[in-house]
Amino acid sequence: MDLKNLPPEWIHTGGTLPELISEMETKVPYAAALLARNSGVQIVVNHREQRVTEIPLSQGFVLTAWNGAWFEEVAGTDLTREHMLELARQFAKTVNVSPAEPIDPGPSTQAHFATSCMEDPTLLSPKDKLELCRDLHSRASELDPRIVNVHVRYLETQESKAFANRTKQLSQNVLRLRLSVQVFVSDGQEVKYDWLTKDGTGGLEMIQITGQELIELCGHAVALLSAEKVPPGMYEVICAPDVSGVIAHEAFGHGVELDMFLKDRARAEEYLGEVIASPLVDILDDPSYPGGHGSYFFDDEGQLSSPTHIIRQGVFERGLSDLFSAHSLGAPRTANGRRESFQRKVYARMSNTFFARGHTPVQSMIESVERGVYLKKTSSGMEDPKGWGMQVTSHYGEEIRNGELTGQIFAPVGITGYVPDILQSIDAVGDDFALSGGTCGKGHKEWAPVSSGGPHLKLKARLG
Amino acid sequence: MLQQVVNALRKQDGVHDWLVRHIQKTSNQYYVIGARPENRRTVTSERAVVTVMNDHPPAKKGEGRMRGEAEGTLLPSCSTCHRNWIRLSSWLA
Repeated sequence: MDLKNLPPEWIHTGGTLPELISEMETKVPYAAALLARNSGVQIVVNHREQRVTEIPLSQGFVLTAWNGAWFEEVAGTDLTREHMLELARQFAKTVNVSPAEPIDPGPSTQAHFATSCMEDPTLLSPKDKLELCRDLHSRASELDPRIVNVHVRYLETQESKAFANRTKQLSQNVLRLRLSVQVFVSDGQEVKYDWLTKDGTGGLEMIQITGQELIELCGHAVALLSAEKVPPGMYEVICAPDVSGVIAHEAFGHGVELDMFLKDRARAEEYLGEVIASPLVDILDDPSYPGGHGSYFFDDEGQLSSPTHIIRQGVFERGLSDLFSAHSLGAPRTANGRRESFQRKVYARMSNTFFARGHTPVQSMIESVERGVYLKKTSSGMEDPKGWGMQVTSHYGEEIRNGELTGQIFAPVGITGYVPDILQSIDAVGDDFALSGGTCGKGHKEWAPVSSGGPHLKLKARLG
Repeated sequence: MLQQVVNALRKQDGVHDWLVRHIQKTSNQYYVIGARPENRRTVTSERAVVTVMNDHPPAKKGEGRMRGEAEGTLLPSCSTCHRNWIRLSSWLA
């Protein structure tokens, strides 16, 4: 833990954490403490308004105690040493401990981590950042006379955490950025839109949008004005990384969060160690992926980030755990114990979830399709971990005939099917790779930053 | 905390109007899986949500004055940054 690189008001509190653990562990078999702070800024520029708003500052602590059967916690915002020590004493006294398997605190570790960035946005004033958004808005607005609005959104969040238990003292600063441009076009009859988003953990260098990318974005939005509905039926489908990612996250990922197994809410439980996908398929969740929007250095229970191979060569190998689900199921721990803020409990949650890169060039995939659709971007996806029904909507797709893209755009395109059938139908995995960031809700609409993606995939699915 | 924020607001040039909401909450959360407890938590929190308003001269002749607004959250553990935040917010507004 490196207190000088953490929020200044933590200088006294951070040093108190080991003391709190010692105090609580006089009464309970395992204790942990977490400090968490989240702050940031959002800037919106469109044809009608320019707005700079704060991401509401959130800062507090969590004291966790294992009572032998489940976790008890107290959390709050008063970070003074005296208050926290007294609270730790009083709290530990109220915990009714029952004999049970002890919690393993993990190997002894002391470390501080921080997102590395080349162009640090925190060194710019809000005015400078507003200017960046105005410039992007202005460049995009001039591209086509059919543009009726351009919506630019910049989101910057800084997350600081410090964790301690009897063997660990960890701290981290994570900087997340997201920049999106949404272009609305009209032919006088109807309005269509498309968007481009860049995001990640890092500096401004991660979210640069080029003039060429804006031209392509505008071209896609205009093409949607003449889009048709796809004739319903089974198709050979090529999924762009954005669509592959939604399949990994929504269709499959939620069903392998191990707290879902405890609640009997996931069919994946029956398939542990079984073939569930084509042998070409590997799916991972990796909070340590450099620059990923869902990246962090350790989770909210002090587990250091590392990749988890969920599916290896088509076989469902392991799920994603928080400490409680791993302990209850006797499963290995993964670094997926995440909470929205100090105000909420930990759940097993994804981070960066993706298909691993394969070997097939995208052009070869397209050339191998006789009649199919190239799905380019996802607009929504829905989890169904118990039924494993695939519910994903692609914002648009382009027709493929005899190995060539025809230019005919279909929009929107619904993708349905049974998840294992779709995963087993994958017969080519691209040699490319991209992640798209976003936020994922779980529990009582508790949000966490994530990303999903992978390479292009070729598979069979019902479209409509 | 509330008095510190109010004092800082009163002293800052460019703050023509302001609103402070001082919010204290206690939440008891109990999670069960079927009949089996999973987690029991008590959360207490305190924060001030401050809105600062700044009047600007008319943009064009004949128009009335314009009013800008900025809103932010201040926490009790951040008392040293209250003054800085209020200075910045008066500019943003």
